[in-house]
Amino acid sequence: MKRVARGLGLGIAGWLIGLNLAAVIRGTQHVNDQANIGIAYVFALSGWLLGVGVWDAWVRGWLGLKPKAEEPDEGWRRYFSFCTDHKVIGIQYLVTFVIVFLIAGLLAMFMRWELMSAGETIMNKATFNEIMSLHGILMISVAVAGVLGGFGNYLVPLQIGADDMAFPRLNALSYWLIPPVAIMLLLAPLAGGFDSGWTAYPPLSETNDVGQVFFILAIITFGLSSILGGLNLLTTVTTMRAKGMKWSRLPIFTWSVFSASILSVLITQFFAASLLMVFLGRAIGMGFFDAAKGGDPILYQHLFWFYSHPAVYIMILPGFGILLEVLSHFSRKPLFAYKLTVGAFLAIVVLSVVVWAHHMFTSGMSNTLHGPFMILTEAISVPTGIIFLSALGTIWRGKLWLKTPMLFALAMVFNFLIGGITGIFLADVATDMNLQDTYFVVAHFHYTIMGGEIFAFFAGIYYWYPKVTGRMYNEAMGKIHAIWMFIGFNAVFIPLFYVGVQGMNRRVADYPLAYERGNLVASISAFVLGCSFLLFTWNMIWSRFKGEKAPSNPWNATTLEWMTESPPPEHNFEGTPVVHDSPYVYGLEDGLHAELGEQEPELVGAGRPE
Amino acid sequence: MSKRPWLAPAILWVVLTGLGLWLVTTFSFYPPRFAHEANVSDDAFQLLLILAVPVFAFVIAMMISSLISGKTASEPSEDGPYLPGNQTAVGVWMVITVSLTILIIINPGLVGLAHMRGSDEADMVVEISGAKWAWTVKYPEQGAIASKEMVLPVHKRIRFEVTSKDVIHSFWIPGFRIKIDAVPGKTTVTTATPDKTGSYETEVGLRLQCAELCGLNHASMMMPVRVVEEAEFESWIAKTREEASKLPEDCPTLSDNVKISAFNIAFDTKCLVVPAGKPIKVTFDNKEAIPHNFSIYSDPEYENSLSKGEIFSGPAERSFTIGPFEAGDDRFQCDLHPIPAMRGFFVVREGA
Amino acid sequence: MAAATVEAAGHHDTLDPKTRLRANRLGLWIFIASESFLFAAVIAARFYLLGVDRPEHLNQELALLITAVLLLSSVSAFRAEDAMAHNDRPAFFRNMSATLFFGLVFMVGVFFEYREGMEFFPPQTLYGSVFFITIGLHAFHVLTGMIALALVINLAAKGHYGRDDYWGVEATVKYWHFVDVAWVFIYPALYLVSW
Repeated sequence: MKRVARGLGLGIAGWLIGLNLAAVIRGTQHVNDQANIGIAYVFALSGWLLGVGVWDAWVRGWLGLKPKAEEPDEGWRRYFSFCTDHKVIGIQYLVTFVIVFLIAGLLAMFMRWELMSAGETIMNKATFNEIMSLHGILMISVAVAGVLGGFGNYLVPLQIGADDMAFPRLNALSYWLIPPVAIMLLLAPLAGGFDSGWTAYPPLSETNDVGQVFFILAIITFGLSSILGGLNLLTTVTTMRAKGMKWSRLPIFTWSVFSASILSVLITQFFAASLLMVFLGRAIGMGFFDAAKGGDPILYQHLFWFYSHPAVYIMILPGFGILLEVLSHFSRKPLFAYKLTVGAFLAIVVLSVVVWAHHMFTSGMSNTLHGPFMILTEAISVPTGIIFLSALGTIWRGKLWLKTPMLFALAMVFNFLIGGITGIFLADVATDMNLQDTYFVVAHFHYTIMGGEIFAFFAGIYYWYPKVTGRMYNEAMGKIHAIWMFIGFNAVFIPLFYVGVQGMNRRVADYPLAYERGNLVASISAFVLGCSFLLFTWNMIWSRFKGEKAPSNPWNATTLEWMTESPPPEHNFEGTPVVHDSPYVYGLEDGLHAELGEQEPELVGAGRPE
Repeated sequence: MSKRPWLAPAILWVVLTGLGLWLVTTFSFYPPRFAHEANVSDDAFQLLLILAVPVFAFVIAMMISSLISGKTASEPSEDGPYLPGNQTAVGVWMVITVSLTILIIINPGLVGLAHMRGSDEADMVVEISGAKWAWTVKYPEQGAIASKEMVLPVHKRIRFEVTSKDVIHSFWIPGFRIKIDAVPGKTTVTTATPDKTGSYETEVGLRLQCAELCGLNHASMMMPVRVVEEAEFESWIAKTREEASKLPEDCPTLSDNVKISAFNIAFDTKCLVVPAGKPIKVTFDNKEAIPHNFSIYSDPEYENSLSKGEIFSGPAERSFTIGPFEAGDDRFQCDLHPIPAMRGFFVVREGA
Repeated sequence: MAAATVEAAGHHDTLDPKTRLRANRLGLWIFIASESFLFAAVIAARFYLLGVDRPEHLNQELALLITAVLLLSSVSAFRAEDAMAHNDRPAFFRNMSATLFFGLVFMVGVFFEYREGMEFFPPQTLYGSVFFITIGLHAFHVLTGMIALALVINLAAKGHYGRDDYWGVEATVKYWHFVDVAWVFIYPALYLVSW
């Protein structure tokens, strides 16, 4: 905790030093000159990171200084410190992003209240545009980092039989890069806010209020966290699998995290580059996207979507991982077509990088690009379809144990089916020309990201709750939440498909009277949906303290995280995991995925030939 | 265990598919269509919808069957069968999904794309310019400019050449189903052949709606569209041309000391009358915290600038001197918001 | 570096040294791959916006000179790592210092590049935008590389690293090579195309 306070102090000091230093060096009178803000932020971020742990964890060593003997924090304090235990970091991510999700959800409630009727209801247009933009970017951050950072960090070492990640300190750093992101986004309204959506297209994002700069700095920081986290996950899975854990025996969740991380480490740089260009355009007049200087606003869109399309696969792949994991264990059947599914993940990784311009069919880009991008986008439905094959093949003739995680998993299949099918309408240029920028698009991506990934996220939360907290959640409340959320969710977004087709465009604070009825239904459903999260939050908190103590393996599942206590001891396993077979051995007599052998003095990495 | 476990889901699938196909072919939820392109787009949508029904129904049928035959409220006492794969199922699945994908790539994919785009020829050109937060419509072949509504002749293939003066906007007419972004520094093109008459009064889809977030008033950046017979179009053109050069009725008296104010992204006057050959004192009261300026142009296209005013945010009042100007019907506008509400006549008259 | 950091952080490394080295190497390669995408983005922007055009006023001599300097610095960096692998500490220090020196010369050259660029194609022009962002991002990487070189020289002087344990040296040298390779793409893209 001391370190966090130190980080805050050094961060604020850094901001002030940087701001004034920049003003002096650049000779500008205006202390809030945008370039100065950028420089100030670099100092502030450095101060924060040094204070919060980078100095002790690395810089001391680099300078050859003696390490400082510091008492490690105990108990709840660990979660507010630079703790390198992947389980602590996983929980830090999970709690942080659930809170961010609830905040962004609350913003959505306000948006739906405003949109309940035509005309200005509770807020003016400027406020709406800012709230809408903030809702967008906060939810994007949850979708990108919530599952990967939360469950990825917590579960992957356990599932592969390791006792931590490959780079534990880097892992902590990835997490502690997140608070500055949140702070900058939430401070942005004080600087005028940002009203260009999370997509931040120039020239609007180059000519609007200074709050946009806060957005840019926050997202570049978030990108860094994403890249470092992905790097850690890839290295961990490659080098730290337990004895016998061949690639062909890896749990599907770990495969999904691995695949998503490939995209995360490489493609995120394009988002950073595009935003850096916007920042430099604002701060020193660089003309990448300024037609008057020979630039091209469409370049931004190419760079932006080159990241942001694969980004949605970074979001959904771990969602698929949780889905298939839960479906298998709760159907008591092996995962169907495991190798093909892994192949589908990797095919999605490759294909996702060549479809970006389907977001740009109406952008004014060259006509020759329409056909190829349409074809490639429709092609990606084949590997995505394999996921459905695997899901259906897994539950077929299974013994479907309808606990809360399973309810969310089944709901996700339904939701993503709609999300995926409606994607085809947007991949087809003839229909997309009309549907682009309408509520049809809004409904489509809520079905895929929220109906898909977020429902999977909740499946994971309930599935792994006993393991992480050591307590059982309340099953009745869980089931009610699942059904409530499912019905509420569909009741919000089906009407939005409809108003989109009817001709209502998106990102609008106001709309023609003709679309009012659909919006009213959606808004009321949204309030119903919103309330379901109150039940969820209550369940999570109450069960943590009052829930029944959880056994090691409440679900009788096969993957390694269930072979250890709930919650796991600090070093994860009593005994060294030895893997004999795939985890998907249900129905096999004497099928055994793994067992814990004697504690070996050193962990044998995959340096040994298999 | 049933001897033919496939039967139940197969029947369920057929029933659901039948129900689905009946629903989508009986009920139409498409808004009214006013152009050839709307027919192309909606036909593509309908085809995809029809193809989606059996796909959707299949997944639902499988889920329902699995649930009905396998669900258990308490922990299963034994595992399900060891079925990690099935070559036949995978093979059939791949063949069907790949075929379906190839099918939709061809039609309505490439076929729809070709029909939507059509040929390069056009009967008429309309130039569209978007600026925060209004549209200006120019008919170059007819020599008219419209800013209150866009009137188009039916059954003529129209080529829209679109651009923006500031940020990215998007030109969308829901009733035509066409859309193309308005990009500063570029002219983008889309075409449509209206095939039904109508107007925004009765059809919400007959509007030119900005479809790319462009700031504060993005939602209200729209212009009504009216599709009329050719004869009516010609007479509307004539009337528009005439009105363009007519001064507003309530022009103030001649003065070399003019006052103008801005509020709610609008000037408080549409006409100023000043003497030729003398410097003119302007007092500009910007009543809002949105930046504006006051510039003078010699032409109705607002291309030839005679005087560019300082941009400032209010609430603040600035006084400055401009001119002298030669006699003529000039124009004034706010360069940041070159919309009808912030444009007007700047009449320069000979005489005292 | 492994031993140094383990003690410094008070951090217990559960990986055996062989796996630790393997993990560190993989992590570094992934990081380098990631950074390559950053340079790919700005170079892509260059070709998208300007095709293969370039301005007349490019100081080709200066650019060729600093390119040669950077390539030389990679040679000395290679030799430094090799020296450490054979416990030849004097050669290690000589070559590391040479690398650092070449890096400094490169940065001085970049400073002059900047000054000339400001005169003929300032950042507010299209080529200037592309030029300054690319050279700037690269220079930032050179600078961090130089800091790493200095830190490693300092640690070695204090007695760290040995024939069997010199990850810090290896990582810094590999990073330095990456910075050089990046320049090998940047230099033609900015200076040489449509020769």
